[in-house]
Amino acid sequence: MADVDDRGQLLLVGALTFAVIMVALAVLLNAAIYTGNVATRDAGPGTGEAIEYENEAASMARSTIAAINDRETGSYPDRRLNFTGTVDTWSLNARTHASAALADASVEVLGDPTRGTAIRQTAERNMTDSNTDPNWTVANDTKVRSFRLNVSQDSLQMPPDDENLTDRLFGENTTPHYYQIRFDESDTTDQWTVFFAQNATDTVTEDVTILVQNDGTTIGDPCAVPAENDRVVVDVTDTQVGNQHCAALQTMFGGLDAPYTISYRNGTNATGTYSLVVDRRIDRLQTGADTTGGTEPAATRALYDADLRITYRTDGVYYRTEIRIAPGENDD
Amino acid sequence: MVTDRGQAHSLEAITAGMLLLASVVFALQVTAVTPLTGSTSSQHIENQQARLAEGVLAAEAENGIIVPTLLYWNQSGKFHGAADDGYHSGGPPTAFGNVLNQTLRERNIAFDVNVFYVRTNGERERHSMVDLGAPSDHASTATRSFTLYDDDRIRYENGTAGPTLAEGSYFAPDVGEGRLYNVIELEVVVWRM
Repeated sequence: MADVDDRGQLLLVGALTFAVIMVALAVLLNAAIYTGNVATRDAGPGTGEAIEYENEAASMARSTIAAINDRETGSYPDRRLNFTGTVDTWSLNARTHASAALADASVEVLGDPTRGTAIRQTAERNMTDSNTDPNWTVANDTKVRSFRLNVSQDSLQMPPDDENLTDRLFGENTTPHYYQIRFDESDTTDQWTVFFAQNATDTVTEDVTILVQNDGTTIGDPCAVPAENDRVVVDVTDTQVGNQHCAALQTMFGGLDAPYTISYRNGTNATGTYSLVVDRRIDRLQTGADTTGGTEPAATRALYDADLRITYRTDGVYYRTEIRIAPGENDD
Repeated sequence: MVTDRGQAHSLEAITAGMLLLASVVFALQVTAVTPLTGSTSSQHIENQQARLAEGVLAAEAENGIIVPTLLYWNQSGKFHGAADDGYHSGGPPTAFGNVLNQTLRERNIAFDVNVFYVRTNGERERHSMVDLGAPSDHASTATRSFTLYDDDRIRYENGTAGPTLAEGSYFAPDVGEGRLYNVIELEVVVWRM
């Protein structure tokens, strides 16, 4: 009888121990599951949305500035109102979407956009000013963005034969008066010149050749690109010649300090179209372009750049930044 | 005396057996579904699919093929070749639709594409572009915003540019003064088939 009582106690203690082990095991495994769960949850606080919002706002602002400069004919205040109005409407509508993602997002224009001037030649014509003077000032003491030319290869000067490359461009023989764009720094005597010639290299034929000089010293290699249907697009500020990168132009913008005066030389020796935007308001600008907009090349009011403040806030992220929009500026 | 002990023994044996069985059941219950267990509800896979969808949107937005797809609009009230509530058999027959088919559908990932736009009264409205069914409970989403302008051109069925948004008819209204037309949010919902 005494034996039976002893064994019952043992069984009870054994069962209890077993139960405790099981519970401990369960807690352990649950902890492992929980750790795994936490580890695979969204790792980041979702900063991607903020960056994406900023990118979309910036691209909207760039496109708006370009469109206003292209189409509007109004005064500077009209343009400013148009720009801020578009940015505000965009901000309002984009906020509707952001709210659905539990975010508060806004973009606002800081201060006034810089008043500038757009100078354009939209019809095929030589590069002279509105009075057909071949040597003229395009814009004085300023900074340029979106400087793009579409030149006819045939219209450019060709170097005389039987001369080597350097001579071909700038030999003793000064007969070919190459069309040039000249940048004179306002605060120094530094002068940068971009020469346009055709068939000036041995390797490429039917080409447009660009050569950059700084105070008479040639910078890097000439950039030569074959013409397509006689045309080559030269994006000076984007340092592209016919969609190919031109290192010499890049070097020039690295060394060129704003403000500078832009002028054309030998404008009769090239035909084509071009457009550029400078950061000097039209009533303070010296230019050979027609400021009344009547004849080509025409100078019109334009917005040069604008500052935006972008705010994006969620429960985990507070992002606020101020950006400057100057589409087509060399370092933009 | 002897009979008493026999009864106790059998009770003991039954209890032990039940205890053993209970512990086996318990052990099986304890090793439940972990995040690493393969299943359609895996958190890992949800995260991966969300990243995949985000990646597709980001890359194709950069390539500039999403806005032409948004504008692939038959002016009678639906996308070209789609039902009223969008395409039912895969992505739209455009470059972006092709990318969706190749990166998602061919990997057995189902997707819906929703277009959210803003009405003139400020309400956010949804228009379905691709509808491959109701998403499962474990679907992931990725979104991205696009801006439409008055002079963006609605595409004809062959992809060429048609009338501008300002002239043509489109599901989203013109909410912006000036050149702004509407701000669109594109949402891609992905889930495992």
